[in-house]
Amino acid sequence: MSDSEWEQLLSSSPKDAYEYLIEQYGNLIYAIVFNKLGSYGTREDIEDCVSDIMVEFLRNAGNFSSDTGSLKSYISTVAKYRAIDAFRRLVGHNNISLDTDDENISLPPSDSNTEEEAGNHIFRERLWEVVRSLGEPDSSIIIYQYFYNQKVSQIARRLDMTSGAVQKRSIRARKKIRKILENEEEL
Amino acid sequence: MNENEKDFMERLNNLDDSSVEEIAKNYPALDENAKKRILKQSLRKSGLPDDDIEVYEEPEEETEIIDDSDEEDEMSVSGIEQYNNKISWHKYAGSAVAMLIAVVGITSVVLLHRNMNNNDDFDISSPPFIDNANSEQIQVTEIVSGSYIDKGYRAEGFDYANINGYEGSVQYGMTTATEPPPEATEQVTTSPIEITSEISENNNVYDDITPVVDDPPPVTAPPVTNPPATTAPPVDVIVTSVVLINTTVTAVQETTEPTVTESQKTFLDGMRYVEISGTDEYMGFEFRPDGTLTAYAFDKYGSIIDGTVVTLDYEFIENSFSFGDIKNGLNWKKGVVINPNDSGNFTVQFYDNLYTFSTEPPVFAEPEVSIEGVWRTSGNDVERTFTFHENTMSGSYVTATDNLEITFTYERNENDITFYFDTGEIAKAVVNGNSVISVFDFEWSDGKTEHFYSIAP
Repeated sequence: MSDSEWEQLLSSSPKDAYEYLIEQYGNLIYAIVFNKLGSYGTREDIEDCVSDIMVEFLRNAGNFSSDTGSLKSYISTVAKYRAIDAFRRLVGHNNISLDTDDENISLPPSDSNTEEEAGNHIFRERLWEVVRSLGEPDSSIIIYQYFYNQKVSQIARRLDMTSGAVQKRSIRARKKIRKILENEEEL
Repeated sequence: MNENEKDFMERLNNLDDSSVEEIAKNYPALDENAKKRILKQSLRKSGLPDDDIEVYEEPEEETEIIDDSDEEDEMSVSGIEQYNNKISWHKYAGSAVAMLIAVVGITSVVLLHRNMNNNDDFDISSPPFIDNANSEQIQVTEIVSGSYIDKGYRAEGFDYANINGYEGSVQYGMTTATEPPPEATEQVTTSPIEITSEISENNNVYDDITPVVDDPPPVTAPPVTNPPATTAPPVDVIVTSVVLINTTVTAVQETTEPTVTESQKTFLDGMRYVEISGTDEYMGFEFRPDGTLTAYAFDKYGSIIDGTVVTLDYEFIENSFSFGDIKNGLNWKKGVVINPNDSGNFTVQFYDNLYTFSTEPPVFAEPEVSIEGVWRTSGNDVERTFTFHENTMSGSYVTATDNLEITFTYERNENDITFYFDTGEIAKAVVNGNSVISVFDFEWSDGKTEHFYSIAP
């Protein structure tokens, strides 16, 4: 379905438009929200934020025009900033103290922490590369366990493995990641 | 690397956009049930029906004991902890003393309560709330006239729980309880009165209020040296309390079915916009033939105010109209219908104001987009954040190499905005959108366009 077809669907059946959005972009929005909220939100918080984004997006869909940009980039922008708002709300509500690293999630960079932020950024990118290089199913296990904060039993069901196997693979994968990153530090 | 494994793995977030996109594509997290949950939530938040979506409630998973330790690490231990601490005698003694204190306390309260109930010398003329006599008297006047209910009802946005304690006091159908005879009011407010012990037993207010005629103040004595009997103010208070109790009990006990004739049902069926005299508020009444209606309040832009949607009963008997929780005997407002016409429009004169019911929606104010606050831009490779102040706009461009700060002035004429830069460049923008996500197109002199979004906190 093209973006302009989606615009037509929205005017004829909002429910179908929702279904299409969730089917098409649900995982992307969910990942964007998880990327910002991480372990600060429960599953309910994350899903609440995703549905807020959907509602807000559809409520303001009149502002979207397929002539000026893609639906995906538009909804990603909305999702990103909504997730930041949700993060701030959760941090405020739960009275969570932020470490320097977390502040960078929501605050613009300043001169004082630019260097530290750059270091964190490089580390994250490298960590992500190493995780990808693990191969399956280890990459999946690590991503579901540490990016999506899923439990071992959930991952086991998803990957059709036993919980014990998932746990053992996770331990070995983490050791492997650690070793790779330590060797790079020594060089 | 000094961090332990768990800490450094928890930094697998806040990745860049392309990595997140890759994760979403190659490692999708939403299963069908989660998608349904989100769809259901979204529909519900949008006010769309969601009954046909069945979500499987996932069982609560037991807390998982995750072994984060290395299996080759010999630092872990296993076994059962045993506690052999014997309970010493003083713990038993302490428990016994605590129980004894509790028993003595309860017994004392019971005896004290019984003793107070049997006290025939209770001085009804000197209640402890004597100092509040005047304010209580004002409350009586308001409750009897019904204006207290109306204030609470509007100010709280249909928070009816707030008026539960007073619901019975506006029972217009129950004149014996709520509408005091004029002469009784006169007596209460103008002359000292006394209350005999039969008052509370009969629970009948007006029969028991008698002017104090046997012992009037001496005519020759100045008021300062010979003030009225001190029993007068508390008498007002007691009357107040009895009125409230009496009315409330009557209201709760009475249960009626709303009465609406067939022709009136046809006449009323459908939506009415309600203008309330003396206010700039509008309400919506959606009448149904079964004698119920959905009421809600609009803001000045015609949007339904959150938390104001409630279902009520209504009653239409000849030219009398009332609404409230009638099935439970609670008429909140009752008034006289004036000038009903064929279009279904009519007016109701309530005791305090006039409600004009119309099938035609009123002209609501056009939503105005405030541009003060933080805006973010999109439509460009570089994300920018701007803060609009009263007549200046400051912003920052964060790029891979630069972090630029700029400030420039702007003028707003309704929805047209003109920006003035130090370079002499002028850019124009047109605001549109609404208060949740506002957007306007910003066209630079080189023809580039940017879209500004404001995301409400």
